[in-house]
Amino acid sequence: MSDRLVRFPGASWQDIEALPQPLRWTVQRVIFHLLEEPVPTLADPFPADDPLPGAYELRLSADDVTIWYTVTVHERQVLGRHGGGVDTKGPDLGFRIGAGEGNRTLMTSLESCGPQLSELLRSRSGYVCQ
Amino acid sequence: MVSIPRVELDALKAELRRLRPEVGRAVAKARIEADPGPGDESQMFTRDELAEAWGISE
Repeated sequence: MSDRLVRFPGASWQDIEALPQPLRWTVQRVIFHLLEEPVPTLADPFPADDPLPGAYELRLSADDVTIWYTVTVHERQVLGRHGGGVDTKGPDLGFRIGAGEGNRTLMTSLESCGPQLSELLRSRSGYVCQ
Repeated sequence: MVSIPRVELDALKAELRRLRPEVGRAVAKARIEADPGPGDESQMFTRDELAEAWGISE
């Protein structure tokens, strides 16, 4: 069971919703799949000439769609193990994703807790890992 | 009415197909670099929540 999270910054959610079918369905399925397999074998470092840290490009030629995303590590606040307040910081693996078709570019991002982090708690502005 | 030779039209279409990914890459790179990351008010979903929101069944 994946404990990863997907995040949609800016107007990315609305951008995806505005896509025509079946392109929208394709993009949604790909993003959903990336929650299970963040770096599929077809993904290439992005940009190719000077890759951003953890960034990938996933080209779906059959659908004329490209997915761009990065896997990053954030220093995030974590809650005290015994229910106390915020008392330390821990690693939080993140995945930022963008998809483009034609003259528009869609952006989403995936957030994930690493396998050593077993619980997710929702905070005011997102998620924290414990 | 304006007529365009078919060969020119095909060439323009090919050029458009070539340019679109380049523009997309530039925009994607700029947006990735500009994204402040988690902690803002962006929507965030678990796998189950996303499946429900998009009506994806397994």
